[in-house]
Amino acid sequence: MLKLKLKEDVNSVDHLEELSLGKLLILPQAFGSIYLGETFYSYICIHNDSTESCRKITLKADLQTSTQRISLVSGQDELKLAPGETIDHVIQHEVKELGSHILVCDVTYSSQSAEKLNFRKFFKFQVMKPLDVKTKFYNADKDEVYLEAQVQNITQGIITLDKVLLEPSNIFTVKTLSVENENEDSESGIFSNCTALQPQDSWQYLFCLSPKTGLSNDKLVKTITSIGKLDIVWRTPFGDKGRLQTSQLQRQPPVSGELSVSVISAPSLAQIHKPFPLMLKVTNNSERTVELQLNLENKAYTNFMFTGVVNNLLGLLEPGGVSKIKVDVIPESIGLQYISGITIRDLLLGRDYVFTDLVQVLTLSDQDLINVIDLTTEKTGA
Amino acid sequence: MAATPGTYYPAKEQLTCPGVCVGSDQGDPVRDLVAKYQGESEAAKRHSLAADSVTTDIRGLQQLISSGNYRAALNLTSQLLTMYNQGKGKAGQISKHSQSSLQIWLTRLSLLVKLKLFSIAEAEAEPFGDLEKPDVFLQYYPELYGGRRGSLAPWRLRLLLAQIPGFCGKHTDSVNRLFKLVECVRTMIRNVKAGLAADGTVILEPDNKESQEALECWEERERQVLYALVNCCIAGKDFESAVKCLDMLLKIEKEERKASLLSCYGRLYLQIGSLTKAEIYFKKATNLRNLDNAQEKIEDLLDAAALDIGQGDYASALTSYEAGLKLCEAGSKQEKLLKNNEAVCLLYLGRLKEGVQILESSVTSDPANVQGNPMLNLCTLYELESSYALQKKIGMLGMVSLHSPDSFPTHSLKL
Repeated sequence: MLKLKLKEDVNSVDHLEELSLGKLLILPQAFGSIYLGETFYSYICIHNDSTESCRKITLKADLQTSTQRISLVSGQDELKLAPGETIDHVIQHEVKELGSHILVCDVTYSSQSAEKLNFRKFFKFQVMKPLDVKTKFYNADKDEVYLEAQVQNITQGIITLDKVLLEPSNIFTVKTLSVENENEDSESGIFSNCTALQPQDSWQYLFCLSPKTGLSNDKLVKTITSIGKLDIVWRTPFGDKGRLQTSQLQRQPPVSGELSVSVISAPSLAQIHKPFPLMLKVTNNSERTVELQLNLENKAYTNFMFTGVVNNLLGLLEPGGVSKIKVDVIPESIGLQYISGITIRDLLLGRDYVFTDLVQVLTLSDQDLINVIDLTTEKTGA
Repeated sequence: MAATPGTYYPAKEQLTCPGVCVGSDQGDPVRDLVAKYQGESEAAKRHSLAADSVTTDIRGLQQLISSGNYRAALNLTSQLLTMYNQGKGKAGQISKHSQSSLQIWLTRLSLLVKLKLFSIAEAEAEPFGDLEKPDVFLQYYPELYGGRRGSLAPWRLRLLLAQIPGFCGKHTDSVNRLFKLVECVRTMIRNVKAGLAADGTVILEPDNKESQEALECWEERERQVLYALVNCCIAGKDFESAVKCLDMLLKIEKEERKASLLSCYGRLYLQIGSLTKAEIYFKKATNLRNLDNAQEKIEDLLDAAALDIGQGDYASALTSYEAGLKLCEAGSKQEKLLKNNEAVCLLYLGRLKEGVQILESSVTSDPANVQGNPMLNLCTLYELESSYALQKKIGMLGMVSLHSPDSFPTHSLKL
């Protein structure tokens, strides 16, 4: 019997009366909270309550923040209102400051009894911070920069992150490395499916910035600290949109010594006791010319050996100059080996530069196994 | 430990000892409001069916409920339960149960929930527990029911008892109890499918009409528990679990209800702000609907409008509502819904006066339209419109006093 009554309730869905989430719209009973980046909507209504008609009505509405006064309705038109009539304005303003805001409405009018009458109404509200963004930078080789950005929901309700993009500064191009979850039937749950966040939860994004082609050797790339801005768009329940941009994100510029050595090519697999070639590139990052000697006396490491000429003169290298070296390495034990221990001496200053952990090579005992693995990786393209 | 029948007396803790809460009798809040704002003489004019105007039995109870006078009905259940020694203040005292007394308890607890008197409902539901104590089973009363086995309690009572913690804010509690129920129902279904009776005891003949009916009954019950779970999860803002329960429902729901179910997914995703997901589900619902049927087309338009509102596009939503109004039957529930939503939309478009007119005419045109939620919206619009809001609300109070039963939610008048 009570079930029959439920069918008559306007909010119940036909056939599914048991479901409490209906289709009836209910007006909000309180202002709620507003956050930075959202839009403030207000309905301003001037209603003539009296029995006389009024003329020369002007409405001026301003939003007063702690730093400025923004005009929302200019107050230029002069209007008339007969008894019972209304003038309606729906104003919207994207909130760009935190803290206390006051909507000030100033109405001037004349009625039949008095010439100039004026009154004001105020509405005060606070704008709070909706998101907390934490960033971490990683400088990788080849002048790439990785940015890890964590966005935390510090509002009172659930939000969905529509878009989180990195707008790079002029020098870089950006690639988003976050996983796009296209499969809607996957078991990952609704919050991870649509980047929705409960209060206090965070979502982490990864971006890779690489210098634009043609600029990779430019000194600017190594020293620039402004990486770009994060542009975030989110939605609150029932679709209200909010948008924020961070200020320019700063990183620590990569620190490189006066000389740097990087690997041009090296095999991933090697067979024990058989030499393999290693191509290296030496770069002079300092402001002066250096005369270099390569020293391969490897005393500290026993799991591999260098062969060939152990002390090799590399000659002069001007500032910014690059020199290529070929080194032969013989692995002495099986497993993942870190090739280290290359010393380069600057003969002009008598300074030694030691380079460790240049590359990793997996050493195996059997050539057949190497062939099999090579074939498999070729097929899968891994 | 077996004993000779009639010699073993269980302790009170092992029995179900319910009783009506003292001080739970209800007055008529509409009458009180009229007395406050319009004076006693006006209040005296209000005639609503009360407990003393009907017979003190089940028929009287049915009359009160069908006229919507839930508070009077509640008072009547209190009187009826006194006859079973379970009246006011009798909680904790041993009494006998029967199918009819438990039916009255079910009615009473349902009324308490409907009237949102949750703390009283929780207190009165507590002695029942999970309906596992021996004195609510047929076997406990061999002199009355012979050798019959089973529970005295109606299915609906089990479902309601599991839901009550959720209404009091204890959502995890409710979810746990409801899932226990689901497991129980699924065991019954497995039994019936295996050719046994529901409780696993008697083997029935295959293709038995009885087993077919039993299967349909238990499958419908499984759906009811899942709906209760969805409601509980949404109330507890646990949208993740709500979606998982909807997924379970989608697998076992009847074809004709699937479109409405998919539309529910859409509304849920709107609640968390995910417009893309909401759109996907609304589209799925549209694909299942027969758009030549006016009612289904209207449901479709309502969904499209909800999505538009999510985008902030109130103008398109308004067009959808207007199109729906052209298709719907005059005086139907859908018409009331469309008019209410249309009025809300007009407010957001800056057309307050039109919105007020539409909602006012919808609410006053038919006494059956005087329901809580549209009234709340109307009074909110009055407050926005002018300083005459109080007079207009009292005008509405007059209307409510004339037409509404005592179950009308008086807070929606915002007086």
